[in-house]
Amino acid sequence: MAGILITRPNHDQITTYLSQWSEYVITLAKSRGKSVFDLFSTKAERKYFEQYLESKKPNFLFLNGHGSSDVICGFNDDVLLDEAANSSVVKGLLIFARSCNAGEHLGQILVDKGVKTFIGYSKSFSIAINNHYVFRPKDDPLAKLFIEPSNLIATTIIKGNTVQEAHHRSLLEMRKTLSEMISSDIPNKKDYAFALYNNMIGQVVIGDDQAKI
Amino acid sequence: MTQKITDQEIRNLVIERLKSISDESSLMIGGDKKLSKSDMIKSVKDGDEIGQKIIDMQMTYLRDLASGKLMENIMSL
Repeated sequence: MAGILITRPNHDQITTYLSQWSEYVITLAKSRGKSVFDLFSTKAERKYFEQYLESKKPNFLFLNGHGSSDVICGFNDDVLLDEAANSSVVKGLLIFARSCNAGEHLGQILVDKGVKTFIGYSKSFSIAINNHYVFRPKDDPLAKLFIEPSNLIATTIIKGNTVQEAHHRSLLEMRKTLSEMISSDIPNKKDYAFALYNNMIGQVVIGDDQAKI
Repeated sequence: MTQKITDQEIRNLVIERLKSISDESSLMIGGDKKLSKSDMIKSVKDGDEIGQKIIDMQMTYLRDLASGKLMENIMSL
C-alpha cells in the first residue's frame, strides 16, 4: 500500500513554518486514505527516519529540512540522506525534498542509486514572512505565496498525478503569483518577487518524471 | 559603447532595492537566519556569504526581467 513518510523538523523559524504548513499536506493525504508516517520535531532524526524507511516501506518521501548540494537534513540538522545512502533502502522511492540545493548534486546521486524520481531545489529555497505572524505561521499571507506552490507538489503527487504534473502545477502557481507580485503596488508583495523567482528557476525534477504513487 | 557595471554599482543597486522593503517583513533563505531589511542591507554592504546570495538572487531576477527571459520562463509554462 502506498505510504507517505513526511519529515517535519521544527528547530528554527523556517523549519517551523514548513512544519506547520505541511499539515495541509498531511490532512489531504489522510483524507485520501494514505498511510502517513509523520516524523514531527525530534522524530525527524536519522535513527527514526531509517527505522521507518525499513519497517514501513513508504513509496513517497516528503522531506522538509535544511540541506546542501550533498545532504538533506532533519531535526537539528541531523543528516538524513547523503551520498552514502543505501541503495536497497532508497530504491524505487519518489522523493520531494524541500531542502536547499539538494537538487544540485544529491538528487542525481540518489537517482543513480535507484530512487525513481527526485524533485527538489538546485538553489536555496526562500520564504518571505510577515513579522506579525511569526507565532501563527499558517496565517501568514506573505509566507503563503512561497509555501503554497511548494505544497502543491506534494498534494498533486498524493492525488495520484505524475511528478511532471506536480512540477508543472507548482510552476504555474508560482507564475501566477510572480505576475501579481511584479505588477503589484503592495510593498511586501513586489519586494520579494526576486526570491520567489529564485525558487521557481531552482525547482528541478530528476529521474522518471512520469512516476506516480 | 557598452560600459560594464562594476561590483560596487551592483551592490549599490541591490541596496537601493532592499531599502524599499517593508520593516514588517523578513526573508529566510534556506538555513540562514531570518533577515530583516537592515540585516540584508548590512550583509550586502559587508559582502558576506548571505549578502552574496542576495546579490545573486536580485541580479538574476533583474537581468532576466530586463532581457525578457523572466517573462519567457513564466509564459512558457
